[in-house]
Order: sequence, then structure tokens, then C-alpha cells
Amino acid sequence: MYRLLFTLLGVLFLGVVALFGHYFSYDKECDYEALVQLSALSHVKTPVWEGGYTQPHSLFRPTPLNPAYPEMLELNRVDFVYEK
Amino acid sequence: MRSSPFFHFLLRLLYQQKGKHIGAMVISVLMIFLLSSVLFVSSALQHSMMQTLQGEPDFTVSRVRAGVPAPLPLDWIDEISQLNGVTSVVPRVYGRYYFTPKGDSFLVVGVDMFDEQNIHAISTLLHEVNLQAFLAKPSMFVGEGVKHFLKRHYFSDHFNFKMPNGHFKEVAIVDVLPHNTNLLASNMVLMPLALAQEIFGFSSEEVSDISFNVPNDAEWRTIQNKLQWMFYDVRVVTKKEIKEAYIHLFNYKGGLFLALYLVAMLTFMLILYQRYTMVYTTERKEIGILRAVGWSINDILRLKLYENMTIVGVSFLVGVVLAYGYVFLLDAPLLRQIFLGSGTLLESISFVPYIPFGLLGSLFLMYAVPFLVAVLVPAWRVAVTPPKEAML
Repeated sequence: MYRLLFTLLGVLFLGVVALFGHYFSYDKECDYEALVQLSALSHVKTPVWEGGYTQPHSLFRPTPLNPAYPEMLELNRVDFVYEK
Repeated sequence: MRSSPFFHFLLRLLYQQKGKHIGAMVISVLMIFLLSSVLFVSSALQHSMMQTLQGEPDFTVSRVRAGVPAPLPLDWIDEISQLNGVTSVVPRVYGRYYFTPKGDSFLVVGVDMFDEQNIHAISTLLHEVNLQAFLAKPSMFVGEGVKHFLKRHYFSDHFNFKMPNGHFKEVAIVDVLPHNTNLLASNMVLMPLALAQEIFGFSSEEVSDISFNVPNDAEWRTIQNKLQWMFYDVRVVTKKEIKEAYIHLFNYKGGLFLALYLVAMLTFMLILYQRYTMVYTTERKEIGILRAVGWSINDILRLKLYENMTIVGVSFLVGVVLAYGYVFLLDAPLLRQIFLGSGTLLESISFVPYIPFGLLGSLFLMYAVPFLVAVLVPAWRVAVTPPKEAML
């Protein structure tokens, strides 16, 4: 019983250690810096899944939004900008 | 642990009654996994976008005619520059290029390749690029999504842009933008400013929009009013509006899941309450025996609390670890499409790990407290029954 318990606890502990190990060793600053450099270069901050502020975003969805639920309505930042 | 009779008894209880707990654990892990995944995706995107938005210009001025964006004249830059408090006025040439009508589109962006800051940014992003060779002929840098897309359509080293005048423009693919910029650049094509103007059919005096900064926040409203008076057909978007829109967007999507989670959680707790009420009725004799051998009500409740705390803790940790792996190692298949869509150009996006510890703490409380209440109340009801009566 104790062996099973310690094995399970060990696996769980390893999982948690792996999570924090990956999280703290991942070079996040490098990724953010690359994004900042690219946005400074292009002056465009629109993420790939959106259109611009003034563009009709329905044009950018030639394929269903989600294969599991093709009829799901899309919502993006443009809706919130236009709402104002 | 082995020396403590209480913990030994607790472990034996958990081990012997594992069948009773396994159902609750599986459902708990699934719920925690799903909601944590949504939180991770939402927070990672929001955090990355906020980091990027730090360098966003304070204002963007675009020309809108009949509700449709129109190119604006380059000499507006001089007029805007003359406003007091305005700095860093930059023209932008960009737009969508449709590979097929209503099909996949690239974001073509014109870049001033002679600007020192831009040269520095290019050399930081693409270490081995030769700018002289780049400028010698029509060339472009493409995002990973665009590169894969063009390769599938047999354009491995160049692409022929169809211009508004009906002619084709062959542009060479010089390099691919780094993978870690895919959040912005997967569908992006960077090329010299003049080439972008040519492809969009702009004259050399026309640009898509103009961005600028106003360092003093107090002047923002005045500048906005002045712009509306200077030009009658403009749309002015501020950085604050964009930030708020992003926060609303991610909160909306995350909030939808949270609402569903709360409903599912409530149902789960009701089921759990009813189930444990029934279980403890069958366990009355066992609790009665414990009371008869000298256990107090507190001891019984402590036993049940530790027993269920173990289940809660283990389920939560398993759910969160699985969610982390699913989002940041596997890039959240299916769930990513709910947040980003499923276009061909979005396939190569991955998330920068970001754990919202505060939100995870709230999630734990929202899960653990109702769970423990749903389990401990029936246990307390049985424990307060006199031992004689309980053993009948």
C-alpha cells in the first residue's frame, strides 16, 4: 500500500517539478523581445487571427472556425472596437 | 507517517475505498484540466499581446470613406507633425493580399529599409540576412505560415503578386521570420515600402495610415479633437482603446468558459452531495464504531477532511499539470481553434508559457471549498448521531 502511495506521489511530484522546470527555464524574454522587434519594424500589432480596425473581418474566415463546431460565430477585437 | 496511527488509518481508508473516490477524481481532473487550459491559453495570448502593445503608437489615423478604408496622402504627416506635443509620426503601408478571392490572405507590410532602427530590428530578428542582396531585386521576408502556404502552392523561392493594373510582380523570398514571432508574423510579408505601394496600387504619395505618439497623456483628448477638426473623414484609434478591446476580448472568451464551468461545478457539487449523503448512510455503522471506541466528532470530521483534501489536492495538481502540457507543449489542439480560428496560416502558432498564479489560486478555492462542503456536511450529519443509534 505504501509503495503504491509513494509511487503515485513520486509521479505527481515529477509532473509538478517538470511543469515548474519548463516554466522557469523557458526563455520568455527572448520571445517577447522578438515580438517587440517585429512590431517596431512593421508598426503592426495586429495578431494573426484578426483583421485591421476598419476591415470587414468576415472575409478572413474562409474555413470553419472550429471543426468540432463549424457554425460557431466568430468574435474578435474588431467587434469591441466597433462597439464604441 | 507510518508511525502515526491516524495517518495509517487514513491511508488504509483511501486505499480500501479507492473505487468510491475514483469517479469524483476523474470528473474533477477533467473539469480542472479544461478550465486551466482555457486560462492558460487566454492568459498566454493576453500577456504576449500586452508585451507587444507596450511599443504601440499612441494614435493611429486612417482615412475612411463610405465606411471603407482609403489611402491617405503622405503630406498629412507634415500637418500632423505641426501639432504641439506630437512625436514620432510614421507612415504605414500595409494591407491584405488575397491569394484567392475570399480565400487565404497575407498581411503585406511595407518597411522603410533605410531607417537605422529598422535595420537594427531586421538584424536582430534575422541574423544572417544580407540587406544589400535583399535590396538589389524585389524581395520579401515571410512568416512561417506564409512560407508553408506558398510551398504547398509550389512557390518555394518566389511569389508572383497580381497588381491592380493586371500585371504580375515577381518577388523573391529571401528569409523566413523566426518561429517565436508567429503570433504576429505567421501571415505577414515584409517588403520595402515602395514595393508594397506598387503591389497595392498606391502612388508614392499615398500610405495606408499614419501613427504617432503624444507623450503627455493629458493632451490626448485635445489632439483627438484637433484631428477631427483638421480632417473630416478620418478614424482615430488610440492605444488605450486597443488595450481595452484586447482585455474585453480575452475576458469574454475566458468568461464564457468560466460561466460554463460554474454551471458544471454546481451540478457536480449537487451530485457529489447526494452521492455522499447516500454513502455515509451506508457508513453510519463504521462511523458509529469509531465514535464508540472513543473518536470525537472532531476526529471523524478531521478524518473526512484529510481524506477529501487528498482527493482535491491530487485532482487539482493532475488537472493543472495536464493542462500545462496540453497548452504549452502540444499547443492546445482544438482549444486553440476556438481562440484563434483554424485558418491554414494559423497552424504554426505556439504559446509563450505564462501561468496566472492568482487565477489558479482562485480556481482552486472555487473548486476546493464547494467540494469539501458538499462532502463534509453529510459526514457531519452522520457523525453527530449518537453511536448507539448509528450502529442500529
